[in-house]
Amino acid sequence: MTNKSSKTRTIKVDYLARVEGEGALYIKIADGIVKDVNLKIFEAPRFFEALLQGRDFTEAPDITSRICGICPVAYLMSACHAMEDICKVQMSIDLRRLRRLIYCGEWIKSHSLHIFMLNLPDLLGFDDAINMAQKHSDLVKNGLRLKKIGNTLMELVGGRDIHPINVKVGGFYKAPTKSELIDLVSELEQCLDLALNALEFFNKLEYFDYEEDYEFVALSHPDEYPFNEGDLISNKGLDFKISEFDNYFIEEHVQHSTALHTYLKNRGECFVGPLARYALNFEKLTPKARKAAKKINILGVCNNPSKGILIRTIEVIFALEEALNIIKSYKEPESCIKVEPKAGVGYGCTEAPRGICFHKYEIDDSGNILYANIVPPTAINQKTIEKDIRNIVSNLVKTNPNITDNELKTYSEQLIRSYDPCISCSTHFLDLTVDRN
Amino acid sequence: MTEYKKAIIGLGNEYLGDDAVGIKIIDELKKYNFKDTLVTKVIDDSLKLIEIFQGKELVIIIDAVKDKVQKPGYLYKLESDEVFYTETRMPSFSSHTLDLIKVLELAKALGALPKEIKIYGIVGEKFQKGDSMSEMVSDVINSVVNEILKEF
Repeated sequence: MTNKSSKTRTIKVDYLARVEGEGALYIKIADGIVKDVNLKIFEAPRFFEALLQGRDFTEAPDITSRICGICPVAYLMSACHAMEDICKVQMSIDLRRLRRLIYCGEWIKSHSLHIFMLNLPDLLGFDDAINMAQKHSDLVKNGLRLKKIGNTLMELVGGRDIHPINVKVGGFYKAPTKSELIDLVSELEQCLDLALNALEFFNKLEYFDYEEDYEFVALSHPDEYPFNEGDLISNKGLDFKISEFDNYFIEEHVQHSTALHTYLKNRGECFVGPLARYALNFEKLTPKARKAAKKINILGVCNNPSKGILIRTIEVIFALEEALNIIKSYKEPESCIKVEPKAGVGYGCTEAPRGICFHKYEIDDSGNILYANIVPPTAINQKTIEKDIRNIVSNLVKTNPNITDNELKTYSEQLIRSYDPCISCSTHFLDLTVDRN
Repeated sequence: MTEYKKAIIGLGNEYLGDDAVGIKIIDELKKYNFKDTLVTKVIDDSLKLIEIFQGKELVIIIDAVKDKVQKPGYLYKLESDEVFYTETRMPSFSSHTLDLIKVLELAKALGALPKEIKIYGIVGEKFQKGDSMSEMVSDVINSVVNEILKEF
């Protein structure tokens, strides 16, 4: 809907399409200047943290995985790690490798879905993947094939691909056999070639000319590109334990959103997700992923959010290569370690496809959950997305005062999609309003 | 892995009232032995349909339908040629993934449709979270099962 007068206009996108969840965008422009940008998240609050109180500590992974159908592994893993932190349990090397393997599946699935079905139609000038498939059926087929191998990994390790049921505090209910995993090697290798070719194709596309001096925040592990463990670091000097999360981050309610806004104390908004992980962990990528990144000349830092598709594709290459490494050296472990409850407070922070997913719990001696706090990545990125849209729309309006509301709407929608926000997680389409009064 | 020539697929969400009907019908059909036929549910990611279509001669899809013309429990049977002209009768349900018609359009664009496709759409009454199935819809499950059995 658009209201126009000579001086002020409002642009509303009432439903954001091709994002995960239900949201809207409101932009107010007065005298050619962008006055207000609100990414509105109106999915009903979901009260997961309250729902967890009084439940047994072993139930947290399965309950919280229901927060998101796209990244359930992130919730499973963060909840497991937090409970194991409280109960002072250390995972065996083979179990933590199996956890990395199921995370590879989730990244491959989630990134491939976003790259090929949600983001790519914008870059190639199509309304959606269906129209894109008329001209580029191979691209869509390859995207679906990549997504499928991600699903298959999740199914094999997790029991099923959406909301896996084989993960528990202490490990897994049943570990897959070596032969079950070896059967995937040929398809993983072929998918790796598909992803490498896709990256070269994506690198020839045109992107928004926009860069921002972000404060990137991601996990950092001494030996690995991060999935499950590490300290939190930023490119602007932060380095702290996940248990210190509350000392560094503030969660704030804003009137226009049912999702909390999370930002850094005394520093403001930051950016989590593929660009952040990549900037802070580039040297720990697998060899083929690093080589592919060098070939397209993005060595570590990418400050252009619309180029997120390139970084996501590099992460798909990494996840495929990592999955192959894990499978080839896989030794079937004892499926789990026994975990006895201990009263205390614990933390879990793992890298969901969209960025860090933080969990904090307090349990009593019997294992009852007394307190739960969950911070999903999109809650952290909301402020950054709003700021970027404000900057980009301001530039567009300044350079082209006659830009139509529809054009603004299209740019904004495409921009928001390029961040791959998971509104479902942060509470849950874009509905855009441009207010020019 | 078994290579099936046919598939019967129930779509839906058992926590959304009458949207469960496709799932319940599959539960009943699983009690029968079908030759060369995959009997399965797709409860989450509709893009999985395209994977299931691969190499199939016949696919039957069962789903609930929102409709203002017919009463709850009414069965729409659509054949291959009719499937792509049904948007007004079988609107989109899903906010998270592609709805059935869009998946079929995508499969068509990719040349990935099965040789023959039939849709059994059962008109539902209530689709709210936590609703149980309405009596008028539950009452037709057996008759729809019998209709499908006639196809084999």
